[in-house]
Amino acid sequence: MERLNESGQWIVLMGILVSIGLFFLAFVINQSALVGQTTAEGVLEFPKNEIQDTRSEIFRWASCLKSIQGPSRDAEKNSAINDITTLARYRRNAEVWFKIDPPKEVSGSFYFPITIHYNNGVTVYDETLTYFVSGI
Amino acid sequence: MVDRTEAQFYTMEGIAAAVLMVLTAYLVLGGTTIYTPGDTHIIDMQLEQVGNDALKIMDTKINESDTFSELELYVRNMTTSGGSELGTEFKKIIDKSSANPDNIYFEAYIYYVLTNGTIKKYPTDHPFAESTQKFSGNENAVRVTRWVFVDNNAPNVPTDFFAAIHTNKTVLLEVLLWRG
Repeated sequence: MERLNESGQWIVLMGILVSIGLFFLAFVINQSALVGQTTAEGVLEFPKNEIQDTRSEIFRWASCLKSIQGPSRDAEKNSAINDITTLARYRRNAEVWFKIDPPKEVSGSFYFPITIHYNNGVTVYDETLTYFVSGI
Repeated sequence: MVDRTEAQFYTMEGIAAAVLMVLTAYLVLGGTTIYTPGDTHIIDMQLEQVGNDALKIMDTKINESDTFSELELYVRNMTTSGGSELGTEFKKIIDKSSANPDNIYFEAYIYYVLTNGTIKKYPTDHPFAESTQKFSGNENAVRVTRWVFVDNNAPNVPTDFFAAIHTNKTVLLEVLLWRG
């Protein structure tokens, strides 16, 4: 029996090795795109800037309220809540509610007890804190 | 009878090669098409962060002793020079360098609430601040917003801005950003 030409088997074997290599490369590319997408989606979805901004704006109001006494303080508070809740609902797609209670004395310093609720349908954020105001 | 099997090997090789080619083409195409949705999200995220950072920088007081931040000053003077000053400063911050300006464009509006709960946009007919390129509606734009505190002595605001009870107000500055 004449000898068989076996070089074709090597071609097939090398082909399989190359195809396995290509498979892994394609898998890596595939995953890398997914990683970038899910990370970006996560960052876009979490309202980090909105929450930080809302907190700092409420603190801005608290430090402004310290110099106002009597009934006009309530008018100021209502103005703050009216502005922020309305604009947050219709222009920022989030429900925001907060209240700033009258300052309390703790060890000789004055603090505003502040409650903040934030909900944009994906992220719910609640915070109760005491905000230090100097010069009351 | 002569036993010759070369033709069978050639057939098997052919089938194997065909499977390899089809599989490779499938994987390569599948690996690349997913890029498009991922890419737009990444670009949106970066643009949104650039915008939010720029607004945050402007809303930070330069000195601790300052009464107002830059952004608050622009909004206090919204009916006079505020818009053009905001546009110039915003452009300066979002550009990586003044020598090689980025092709990021923007337009800004101010929203405020009346005592009866109505939301008013200022200005109504043209943007409060805008870049050289106008927004046509076809661009893939992102929206960044920032609260701006306006004190009750703000000199240059629209006539219906303050209610009868002259309280401080919070307005929303809204900026639309896109790459041209």
